[in-house]
Amino acid sequence: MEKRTHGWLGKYKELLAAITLFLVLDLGVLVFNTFTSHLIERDTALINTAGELRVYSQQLTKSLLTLRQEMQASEPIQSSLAELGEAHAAFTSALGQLRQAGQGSGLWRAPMDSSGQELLTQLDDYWGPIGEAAAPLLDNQHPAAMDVDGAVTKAVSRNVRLMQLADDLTRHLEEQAVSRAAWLRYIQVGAILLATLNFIFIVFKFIRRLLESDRQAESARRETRDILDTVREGLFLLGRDGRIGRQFSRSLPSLFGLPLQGGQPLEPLLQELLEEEQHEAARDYMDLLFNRKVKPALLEELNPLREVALKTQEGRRKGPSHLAFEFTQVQENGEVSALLVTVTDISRQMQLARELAVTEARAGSEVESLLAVLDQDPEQVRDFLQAGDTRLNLVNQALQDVKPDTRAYAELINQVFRGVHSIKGEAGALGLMDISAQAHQFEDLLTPLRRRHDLTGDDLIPIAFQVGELREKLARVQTVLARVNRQRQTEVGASHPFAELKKQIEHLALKVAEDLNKKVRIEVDFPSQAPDLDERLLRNLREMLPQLVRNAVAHGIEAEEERLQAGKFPEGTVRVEFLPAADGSLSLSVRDDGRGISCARIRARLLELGHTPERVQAMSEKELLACLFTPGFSLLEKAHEHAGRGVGLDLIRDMAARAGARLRLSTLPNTYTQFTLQFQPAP
Amino acid sequence: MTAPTPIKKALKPADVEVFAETIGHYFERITGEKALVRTAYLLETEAPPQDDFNGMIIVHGSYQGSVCFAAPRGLLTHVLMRMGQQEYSDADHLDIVGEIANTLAGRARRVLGEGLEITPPHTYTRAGRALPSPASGTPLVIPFTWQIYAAVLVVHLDVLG
Repeated sequence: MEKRTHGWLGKYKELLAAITLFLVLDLGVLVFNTFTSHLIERDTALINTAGELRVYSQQLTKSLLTLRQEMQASEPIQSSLAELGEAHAAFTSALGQLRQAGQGSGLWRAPMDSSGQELLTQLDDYWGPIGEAAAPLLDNQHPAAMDVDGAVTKAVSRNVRLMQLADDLTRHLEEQAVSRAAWLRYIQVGAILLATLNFIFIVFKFIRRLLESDRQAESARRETRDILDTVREGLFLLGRDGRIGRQFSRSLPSLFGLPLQGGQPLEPLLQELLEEEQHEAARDYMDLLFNRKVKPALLEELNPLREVALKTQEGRRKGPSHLAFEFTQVQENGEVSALLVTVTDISRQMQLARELAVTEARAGSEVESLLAVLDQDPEQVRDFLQAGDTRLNLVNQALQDVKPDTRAYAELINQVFRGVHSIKGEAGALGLMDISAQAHQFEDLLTPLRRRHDLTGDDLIPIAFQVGELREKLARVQTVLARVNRQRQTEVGASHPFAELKKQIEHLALKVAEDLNKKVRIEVDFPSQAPDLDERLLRNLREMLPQLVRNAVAHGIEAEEERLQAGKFPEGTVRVEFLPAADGSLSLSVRDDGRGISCARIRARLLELGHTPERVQAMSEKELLACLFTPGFSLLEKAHEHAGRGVGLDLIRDMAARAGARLRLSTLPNTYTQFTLQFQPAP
Repeated sequence: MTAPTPIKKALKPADVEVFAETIGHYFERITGEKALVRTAYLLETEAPPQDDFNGMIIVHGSYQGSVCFAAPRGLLTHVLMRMGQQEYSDADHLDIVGEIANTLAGRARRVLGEGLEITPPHTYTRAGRALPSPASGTPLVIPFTWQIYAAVLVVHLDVLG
C-alpha cells in the first residue's frame, strides 16, 4: 500500500512541482504588485511634494511682499505672518521629505539618483538663505522692517530660480517614476508570462497524463477483452453473492450451451446443467471455497466438478457433453472476495478415454477370438469363414443392386439382418466372440432401421461400413487360421465329424448361460457311428443347431430363482438329439425344460406391439405360435447379445425351408419346448 | 474367398456422409433438385467406376486417398442448361465435374481438418485416366440418382492420424 502511495506520488511529482511553481509565481506577482503599487504611490507623493515646493516658494514670496506692504501701510500683519509661517513650514517639511526620500533608507524606499540628489542640493542651497532670512520673522509679532526687506529681497531674487529648480525636480522625479514604472511593468509582464507558461505546461502535462492514463486503461481493457474473447476456456469471477461477474470469456455461453448475462446467478445455471446430486455437491463446495481457512490443496482434492457429465436435456441444449470446472480463490485483505472459475470442455478427452477403453476391450476380445481358433476344428472355421464371406459378398451385391424404393430398402435390411445374425450365431458357436460382437453391433445398427418405413439411400452408407468392418474381422481370423493350418498340416487326421460340433454346442450353451446368469446342463446325443452325411446337410446342421441351442438357453431356460419358485432344479437342461431313422431320414431335436411358450404371453406381447385386442383374441394357438417365426418378433422387450432381435426362429425357418427339412414345435407351459427338424434322405 | 482389406481404420460413416451431402446440395443449389443417394457398397473390383466425365481430388495428411465424382454426359448437360450456358463442349462438362470436385475438396478441408493437403481437381473423360489413389483400403461407392440419371461418388480414404 505504501509502495502504491509512493508510486502515486512519483507518478505525479512533475505535476506537483509545476503546480507549486505556478502558485509561487502567482504569489510572487501578487507581492510584486503590492510593492510596485507602493513605489508608484511613493513616487506620486514625491512628485506632488516636489510640485508643492513651487507653490510654497510662491506663497512665501507673496506673504513676504504682503507683510512688507502691510507694515508700510501700518496695517495688521497677523494674517501675513501666519501665511508666511505656513509657507515656510510647508516648504521646510516638503524639502525634508524629499531629502529623506533622496537618502533611500527603508524597505520600501528606493534611493534618488544622482541628478535628483543634485537638484535637491541646489534647492536646499537656494532655500537656505530664504529660510534663514524668513526664520526670525516667524517668531516675532512685530518684525523689523529691515528684516522683512532683507527677507523680501532674498525671496524675490531666488524665488524664480527656486521655482525652476522645483519644476526641474518634479520633472526629474516624474521621469524617474515613468522609467521605474516601465521596468516594473516589464517585470510584471515577465512574471505573468512565466506564470502563464507554467499554467500551459501544467495543462499540457495534465492532459497528456490524462490521455496516457486513458490510453493505458483502454489498452488494459482491450487486452482483457481480447483475452476473454480469444481464450477457449470459460473464465469468469464468481462473487460471494453467487453471481457471475460482469465480464466473462466469450466461449462461456457456448460451453454451457445456454445464453448468459453478467450478474446472473450461477446456481440456476448449474441446476439446469447438472444432475441433482452433482448440483448439490457443487453448491456445498462453493460455500466451502469462500471459507479462507480451508487449505487450497484440499479444496482441489474435494472439487466435485473436476470431470462432470452434463444433462443432455433430450438434445435441446447444444454444447459439450462433459466439462471440467476449476476454482481459484481471489483474496483481498485476507478474505476470499471472489472465485476465479475456469471451465474447460473435456468432451473430446472423455470420448477418447471411452474409445480407448472400447479399443482395449476390443483388442482383448480380438486376441481372445483369435486364440479361440486354436481350439476349433480348422475345417469348421474355414467353412464358417467361407460362408461368412459369401454372405457378406451377397449383402454387398444386394447393396449394389438395390432399387431406390422404400420397400426394396426394407427388404434389403431384413436380408442383411438375417445374414448378419447367422454369422453371429455361428461365430458364437465357434467361440469367435470378436466376430460375434461385431455382428451384434451391426445388428444394433440394423434394428431401428427395420422398424422404419421411410428408408432412403443415405441409411445404407453406415451399412456398407459395417460390411467392411465385419469382413475385416473375418479376414483376421482367416490369417490366423492359415497359420494354424500350416502347423496342423501333419496332425490332421480323420476325426469324427460330430466331435467338434458337439464341443461347440456345449461351449455355446454354457457361454450364453453364463452371459445371462443362468445355470444350464447340456446333453448332446449324437450317434456313435457317424452317418453318411452329405456336405450340404452337414452345413445345415452347423448353421441351425447353434441358433436352436442359443434360443433354448436364452428364451426357454429360466433364471435360477424363477426355476426354484416353479419347483424345478436350479439348473436347466437342454438336450440335443440327432437320430437317424430307418427310412434314412434324420431327426434333430433341441429340447429345454424351461418355461415353455405361453400363448397368453404371445398375446400380451402382440398387444404391446400395437395389435388390436380383437385381432389378438381371435388368433388360434397355431397362429400365435407362428408369430414366433415372423421377422422382427420377439417375446423379449429389450434385445441383448443372445436374443431379442426376433430373427433367430425366422432364420431357422428359412434355413429349414432351404434344406428341405420339416420344422416342428411342441411346447407345454412351465414344462418344456422342443424344436424338431426332420431331414429327408438325400435322393 | 477374396482377400478383403479393411475399408477404413477410423474413417466414420459421418465422414463419408458429408461428401454425399455435398453432392446432394450442389445439385439442389444449381438445379433446384437434390441428387439422391441410391445406396452405398464396397468396391469389389480393382478399377474404380468411371463415367463420361470424372473429377477427382487426392488427399494427403492425416487422411490419405482420393475422392472421385463420375457422371454421364446427359446429367452434366442438364446442369449446364440449368446454369443458362449455351455451350456444351467436353471442356464445359469437365468444368462441372471439376467444380464439384473442388466443392468436395473445400468440404474435406473443413470436415477432415484444415491441415490436409488437397490437390487441385483432376478432371478426365472416359478415355482419360484416373490418378492412382494413395489409399490401400477398400473404396466405398455411393451411387446417386438425379432425375433419370445416375452418377457415383467413390471415397477411397485411409486414416493415418
